[in-house]
Amino acid sequence: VDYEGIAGILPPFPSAGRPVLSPMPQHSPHSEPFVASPTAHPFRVGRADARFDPTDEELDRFIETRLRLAGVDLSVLPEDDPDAPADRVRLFRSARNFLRNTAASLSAYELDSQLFPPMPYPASIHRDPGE
Amino acid sequence: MSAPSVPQDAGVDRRSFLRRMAALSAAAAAGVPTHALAGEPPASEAFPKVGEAFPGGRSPTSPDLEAFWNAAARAARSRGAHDEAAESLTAWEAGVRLRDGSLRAETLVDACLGRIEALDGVLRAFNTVTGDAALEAARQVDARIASGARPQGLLEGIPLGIKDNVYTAGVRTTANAHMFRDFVPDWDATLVTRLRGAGGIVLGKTQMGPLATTRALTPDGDITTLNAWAPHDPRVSPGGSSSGSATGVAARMVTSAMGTQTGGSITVPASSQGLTGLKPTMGRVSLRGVIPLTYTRDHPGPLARDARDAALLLQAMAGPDPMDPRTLGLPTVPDYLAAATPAGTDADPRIRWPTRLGVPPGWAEGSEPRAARRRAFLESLAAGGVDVVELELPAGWSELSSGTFNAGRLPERSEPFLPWLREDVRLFGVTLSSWIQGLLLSGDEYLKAQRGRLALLRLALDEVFSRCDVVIQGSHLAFDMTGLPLITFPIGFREADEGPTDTGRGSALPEGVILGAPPFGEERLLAVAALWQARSEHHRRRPADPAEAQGALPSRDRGRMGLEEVADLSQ
Repeated sequence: VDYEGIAGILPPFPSAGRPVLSPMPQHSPHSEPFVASPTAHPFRVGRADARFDPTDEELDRFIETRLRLAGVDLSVLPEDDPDAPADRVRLFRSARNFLRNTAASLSAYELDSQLFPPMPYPASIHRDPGE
Repeated sequence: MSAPSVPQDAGVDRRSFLRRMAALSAAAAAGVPTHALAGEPPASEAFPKVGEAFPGGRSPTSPDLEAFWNAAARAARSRGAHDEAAESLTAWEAGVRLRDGSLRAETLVDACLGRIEALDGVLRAFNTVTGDAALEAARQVDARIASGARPQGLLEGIPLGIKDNVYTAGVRTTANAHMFRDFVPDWDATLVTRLRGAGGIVLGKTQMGPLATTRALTPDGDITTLNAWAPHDPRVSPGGSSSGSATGVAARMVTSAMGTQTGGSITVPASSQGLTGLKPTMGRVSLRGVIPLTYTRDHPGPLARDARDAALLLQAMAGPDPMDPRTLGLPTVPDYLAAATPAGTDADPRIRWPTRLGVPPGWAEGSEPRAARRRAFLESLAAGGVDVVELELPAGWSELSSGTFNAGRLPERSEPFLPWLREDVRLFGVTLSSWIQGLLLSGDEYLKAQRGRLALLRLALDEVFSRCDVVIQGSHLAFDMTGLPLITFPIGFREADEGPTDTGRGSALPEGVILGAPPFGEERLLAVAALWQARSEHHRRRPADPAEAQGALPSRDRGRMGLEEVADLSQ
């Protein structure tokens, strides 16, 4: 097996032997563009704006508005019925947790803009094995 | 049996695989219409080809069927397959007996249907049973054989279960969801066409988690399917979401089945019920005619009684499909049947190709029985020629395969289901949350998750598979996200009197191992599983039938899963 590092179209992996993710200092959001180099990690974990801590009501308004813009109506659900497959109380609680935790955490990751680019469709770098 | 000098993963150009994954991710990110909903032939040149070279001088070949069936006949005789009940046979054992005239297809199908009739009221493995059509198909197989024709298809006369999210012509395909309750496709999914073309006989559609999200439930959350090893305890999960496929095979209602995996839905139920489950590389099996859950992560594959059976099903299903661009431009389908036949002798089976197995630090350490089972597994593989090495997963692996990055799958389910979300969100029953969450993730967050998948793939190729050929995995998630192949098979049983939890106490429960491989490493995975199964008997153990006195528990008495629990466990 040829286990050489991946080269060519995509740049070499700059992390060899080092962690690819590292928590960053918590004192301030990043203000400089993140550029990976042989001496830097290809990713870093930034943070969302910790000063903004929306209330449940604010998040519920956001969720409902976003869904209504997409044409999705949650008013057909019962308000609070534990015996129902879905109700508004549990659905909004789940959605709020998703926004506060999962979406915010994902948003905080920073990736070098030169690495792992989703390529345009169709990909322009077709190469046959025999070439 | 002759076999290539190297398995296919040794010849794959990993750079072109990475490019292809990037293009597939970009296609999803750009909202490129897929075949399943657009209904138009795809542009077959859309995706970069995966380069393939055979450094050992290998050239792609068709399966050597004569060698396979000769080896299978020898193995069936030595295992006493001619004395076993028809419904307990593996597919290859049944194939041997159909070929030597000691078994009729109708007998086999009738035996399976009899067990469905007797047990499915309790186990609930099937949504729909197509008994009459199956018996008629079996009689046709018998008539062909009686007329002197030798069975040609790999699966001639073999009873199969099909997960209920896969199109079957003229038969309801519900995905166990309200919105598909009355959906009857007028065409077969490509994989069903191929299984039937290989002579397989469809016995019915198997129960599944609603829309392939979790263990099998009614769309509104009541537990349905039970684990065949613990039918008295609904808390013991059958594994999701291909729950009915696993229970059906384990309980000898059907010889083999197919399932789909987006987040563990083949490997988890197979592992939970003592089966061999194989999730192939993304694109190896066509998804045309499979109701989508996540376009870039859905994988069809077999749930089977051993590695040889898994190879038979994969050999029948795999290959390019002009109607699914994910299957095009890939390396030629290799001889999986040879891969699943160990080298060496019956007395001393050996690994087919030099193979290095990566084991996480501490995986087999400890004094508890589970650690002892794991050590026995590793020692047996080592005795068969596998090079066992410790391998620590690289830094960043756990973050990139975490639930945070995994959230990138959610918009891919919300988009195709938006018309139903707009019609009435109650159609989604207890699964609604993950569809709503998909609408709340922003475009940049979705794109970041897609880029994270490429970073994870690169870690896998550069940092894991530069050190080993197959790797033991504690979780399926990284391989679901990157589209790399996985296999699971039993390495022992947690016996009835063994802790640590009270769930399932009183039942012996299978313990499986999950192995991952680089792109198109299915041969290597099958070879390792086949070696272990040639040196052990765990895969031949079958669960006892549920006591008749238990009767059929109403769904509500089996427990329920709620909206938030389903969201947390959703595939």
